[in-house]
Parts: sequence; structure tokens; C-alpha cells
Amino acid sequence: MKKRFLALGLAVLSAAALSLAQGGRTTVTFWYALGGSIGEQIELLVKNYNSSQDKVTIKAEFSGNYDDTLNKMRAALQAGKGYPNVVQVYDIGTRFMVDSGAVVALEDMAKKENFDISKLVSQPRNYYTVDGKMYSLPFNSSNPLLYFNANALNSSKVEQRPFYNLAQLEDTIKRLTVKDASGKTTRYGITFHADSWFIEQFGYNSGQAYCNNENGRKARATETTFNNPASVAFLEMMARLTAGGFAAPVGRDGTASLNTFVNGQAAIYVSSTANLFGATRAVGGKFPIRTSFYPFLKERNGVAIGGASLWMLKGFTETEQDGAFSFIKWMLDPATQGRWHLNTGYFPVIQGVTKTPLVQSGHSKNQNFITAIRQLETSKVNTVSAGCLMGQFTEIRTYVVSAWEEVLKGKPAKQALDEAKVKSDAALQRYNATVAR
Amino acid sequence: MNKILARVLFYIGISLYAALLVLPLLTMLSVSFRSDGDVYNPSFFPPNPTLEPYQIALEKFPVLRFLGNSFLVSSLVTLGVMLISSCTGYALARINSPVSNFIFALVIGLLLVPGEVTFLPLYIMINRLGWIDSYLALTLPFIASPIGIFLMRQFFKSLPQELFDAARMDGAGHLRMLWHIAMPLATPALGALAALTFLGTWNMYLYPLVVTNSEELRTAQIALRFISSDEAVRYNIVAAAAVIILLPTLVAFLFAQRAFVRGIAMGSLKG
Repeated sequence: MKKRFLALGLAVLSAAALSLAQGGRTTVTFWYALGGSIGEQIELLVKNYNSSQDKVTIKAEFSGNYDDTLNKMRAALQAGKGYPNVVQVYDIGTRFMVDSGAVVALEDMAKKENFDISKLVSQPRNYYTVDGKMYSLPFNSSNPLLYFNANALNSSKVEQRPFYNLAQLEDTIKRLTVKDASGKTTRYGITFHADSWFIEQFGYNSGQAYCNNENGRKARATETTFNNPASVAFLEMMARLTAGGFAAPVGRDGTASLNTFVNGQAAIYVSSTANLFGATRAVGGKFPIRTSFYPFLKERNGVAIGGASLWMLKGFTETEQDGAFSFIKWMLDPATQGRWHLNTGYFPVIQGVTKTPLVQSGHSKNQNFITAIRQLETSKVNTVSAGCLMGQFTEIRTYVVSAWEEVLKGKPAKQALDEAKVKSDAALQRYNATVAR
Repeated sequence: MNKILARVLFYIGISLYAALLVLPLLTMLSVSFRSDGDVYNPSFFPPNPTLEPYQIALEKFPVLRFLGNSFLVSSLVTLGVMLISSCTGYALARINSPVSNFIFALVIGLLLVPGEVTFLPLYIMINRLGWIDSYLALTLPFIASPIGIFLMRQFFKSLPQELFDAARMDGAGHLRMLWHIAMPLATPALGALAALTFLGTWNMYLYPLVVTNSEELRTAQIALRFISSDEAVRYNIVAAAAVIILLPTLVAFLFAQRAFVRGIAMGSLKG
């Protein structure tokens, strides 16, 4: 009997000790929206962070893809509990997140903790700055690149340029196209799948805003402006190239596009830097990949960033908020950023990372990593390259992609874009009306 | 002669159609046996077959745990639906009173409400009850199924009154009549209901995603999203995981094919 009491007493004591030990650590939940190999890297980051200190435990939870994550978070916000401390939201959800009123601006946290945000690379910082305040941490940031099949360049005796204006690109595509005696294409010059992001980026890179009020940066955007001369010229070129058998007819299918490139059926492929790993892996040793900057109409302005950022939500104790911010601060450490960059292809968002020995040796092994960073560094920093900020972006993108497809089927580019603009503006106005200000 | 020709053409036609339907599945199967460098190889068969994608899928992701969860949740929901539907269906069919007519009207009314409408209220309710991230949240809301109740009620209604009169003369109460008379006769209907419910629960995606957070509770459909990704997808591994997840349902379907078809035919009564 005595023994039993003793055992019970010990059990109670050890339980108390255990809870004390745990009481020292604050738990912070973090919802992330990327699975697969990138998800693995995110889990690894979190694991490293948790073992690097003894104050905060990050509980990383996969929350579905970008759209699912946003929906899951909205439901939890509506219920008033069950939402995470930190959540990963894609670039075009930025306006919505700020409008939701449920977030803590990162800049406010940084001020409180004496963290100097001017150390961040200006481009991503610019993108996530809304109404003069930086709101979220650019986490996985990417930009679009041209991927070249080096063997195709050699066999067609085409010199690769570091960047192209539209006329130069069209000429290069035509010269890289191979047709047989009957005029049938055996290798396309380019495979370029219809994705709204590419039109957005082409406009930014040509100095054209995508929505009014300077891309929604000076004041809330009330109208889209994607029917600009840059988009028109771009789509007209795509229509010409597709009709002439110079561009692969892949529609909006990104996988088909990669497929065409990997099998050597197209010399140029267009995709985000985030795809550098995947494309290299898929190509295997079949041919070397070279990369160039994204094209522009006449004069190069600079591209905006894509990808996603991390947001801190309101409604938690100060200890938890501080814990969440210490995690974010740790992610911005040059060493963390360097590993993240080399393991995923996303570029570092804090200055000085490219100078670290780890990153330098990584870059010497794969030169293509440098292209994205150089493209970012040489981009002009202005409201155009900050990227358009507006609500209802997901819906608006569907209209733009449809316009692209209609142009390929023969509709004049200006007309298709004008029609898409009418639908997009209606969607945007509907969104703006629901946001109480 | 013409008849035979028509028949041959008919079979060629449906074979072509069937091939079209099966082609994506076969492609998936083929991709699941390829290494990273072969994923985009245009050949139909894997050029250098390898089990590596399966190995990665099983090693890096707890696919079996996800599968186990799907099994557990689907089985619990199916059992619950069978129990509640047969009891309620029996009561609505065999007990005549204004109350049961009213309840039946409610059930019919529920049939007309699409799931999307109740999604958010259901989530908020589960959230307030503190059931987020538990098996309770995954199962309990679905065990009362209006379609199930409706199906069983229609079936019990179709049984001859004489059977029940005879049982009553032998001194049987409602529970005994349900268990010994109605249920044995209802096996085909119950089987169809079970098959449909199981498959429906197995395929749920958004709801389980929203009410669970921890990896231990995630079901197979969420696992696929987890292995895939919005940016940078390795299709061979996604395909391997999809095959692993598909296999149990495929086998179940082969065994219960008749029940499925019957279930769909019965469901069509609802119009």
C-alpha cells in the first residue's frame, strides 16, 4: 500500500515537473500551404528553429494549397478561434489580408523589437508594403525566367542574351524553331503556357501598371489597367507565334509546357524560379539549362515578385506574439536564408546572403540560381515593379487567362483584354464595396 | 447480319469510350513507376521501371497513417449512417402519426439543402464545441444522413403490411419487428447505402482539411494535396501515393460492384 502511494506521489511529481518544463516554452502554430518537396523544407526549417532555442515551439501544420489555406483561415476567423499565430498566404492575397483587419503589421512588431527592416531586399519589401507599412514576411519569393535548352542554342547557332526586348525575343524564337521539308514544326522555338502571372510580369517589366492608382499602391485600386500597350503587344506576338507554328500549343497547361521543354520539343520554356529545381530534375542529363531575364516591350523596368509571405494574426498574448516574431526574425537570418535559397530556388530576401560562403559555393555549382537574384537586383524599384495590389485577384486572373486563350483563337488582343477588363473591374468594385472603411 | 454488325460496332464504341476513361488511370500507374528523369518521357510504358517513387512516398509521408484514418472515419460514418437511417426510416415508415409525417417532411427538406450552405455553420458549431482536430469532428456530423433515412423509409414502406401484422400477433414489439423482420429483408438496400456512404466519406476533402490540423488526423485525400504542391510538383511521387490510396477503394469496388450499382439506381428514385 505504501509503495503504491509512493509510486503515485512520484508520478504526480514527475507530471508536475514535466508541465513546468513545457511551461517554459511558448507554442506558436504556423499554417503552411506548400506540400511536396518544398513542404519538406518548411518542416526542416521549423525543426531547426525549435532545436536552436528553448523558449518557443513552432507547431507547423499543413493547411492545404494556397486557396484552401485562405478558406480554412477565414472559417476559423469567423468562428473566432482556432486560427494560427502565423499563416502563409500567396502574393495576391495581400490586399485581402490587410482588409481583413485580422493581422499584425510586421513593421509594428519590428519597431517594438528593434529589428531593422531596411536590411530586407527592397523589391520583396516593396511588394508587401501596404499603405506605407510592411505587413508580412516575404517567405518564398520568386520571379519569372526564360529557360533555354543549351543544345538547341548550339545546334541553331543562336547566341543567348542576358535579356530580351519583345522584338528580339520573337526573332530568337523564330530562329530556334526547326521545321521539316513539309513545313511541319519538329521543334518549337518556345513553349509559353497561358498564365495571367506572365502578362502581369511582362507589363511590370515594360513599365506598365496592372491596376490604377499606381498599382493600388498610392490608393486603393478601383480599376484594372492590364489592357495596356505592353499586354496587347505581348498577346499579339503569342498569337502570331502560335499560328505560325513557332510556339507550342500548350494552352494553359503548365505541366504540358514543361513536358514539351523536357522532351526537347521546344527550345525555350517560361517559368518561375521556384521551378528551377523541378525543371532541372525533370530534364535530368538530357541537356544543360541556361536562364535569362524575363522579356519586356521596349525598355526594361523590372519584374515584381511572386510567391507567398508569412502573416502574423491578431488575438494572441504578447508572449505568443513575441514567440511568433522571434521565429520570423530567425527566418531572416542570412544563414537560414542561404540554406532556404539553395534548397528551394526561392531567392533570399535579406541583404548580404549572396556573399556568404555557403551560397557562393552553391552558386558556383549552378549558375542559374544567380539569374533570378541578378534580375531582382537590377530591377528598378518603383510602384510598377512593386506589383498590383487589389482584392479579388484570383477571380480577375481567370478573366485574363481566358482573354489570352481567345487571342490565340483569333480575337484581336485589344478587344479581348478590354472585355476582360470590364469583367475584372466589376469583380474589383464588388470586392471594394464589401470592404468597410 | 445487320444485327451482328450493330452489336460489333456497339462494342467497339463502348470499348473506345472505356479506354478513354481508363487512360488517365493507366498513365498515372505508368508515371508512378518512373524516376524523376523519366517522368516526361513520352513512352506509354515506364522506360526504366523503378519502385523508388513508392519508397519515397511511403518513407517521407505517413501515407499508411492517412489511409488508416480514412478507413476508420469512413467505417465509423458508414456504421452510424446504417444504424440511424434504418431506425429512423423504420419509425417514419411504420408508425403513422402526424409527428412522423412532420419529421419526414423535415428530412425531405434537408435533402434540398446543398452541403455548401451548411459548411460554415457546421464548422462554427464544431469549433465552439471544441471538437476541432478530433475524430469526433470527422465522423459525428455525418452519421445522420437525410438520403439514408429517405432510402430506408421508402424501402420499409414497400414491405407488405401482412408481415408486420403477423409479427404483431406473435407479440413482437417495434424493436423486434425492426431487427427480425425488416432488417433481414433490407440487406440489399442497406448494402447499397453502406457502399455509397463509405465512398462519399472516403472522398471528402475540404471539410476534413478544415476541421483537422495535426498530421495524425489527416485523411488520404488531404495526403495527396500534401504530397503535391502549388509550386514544384514531383509527379512520380504524387502518382505513387495516388495508386496506394486508390488501391483499397478499387478492390472494395470490385467486391461490392453490385451494391454500388444498386445504390445508384435507388438514389435515382430521389429524382
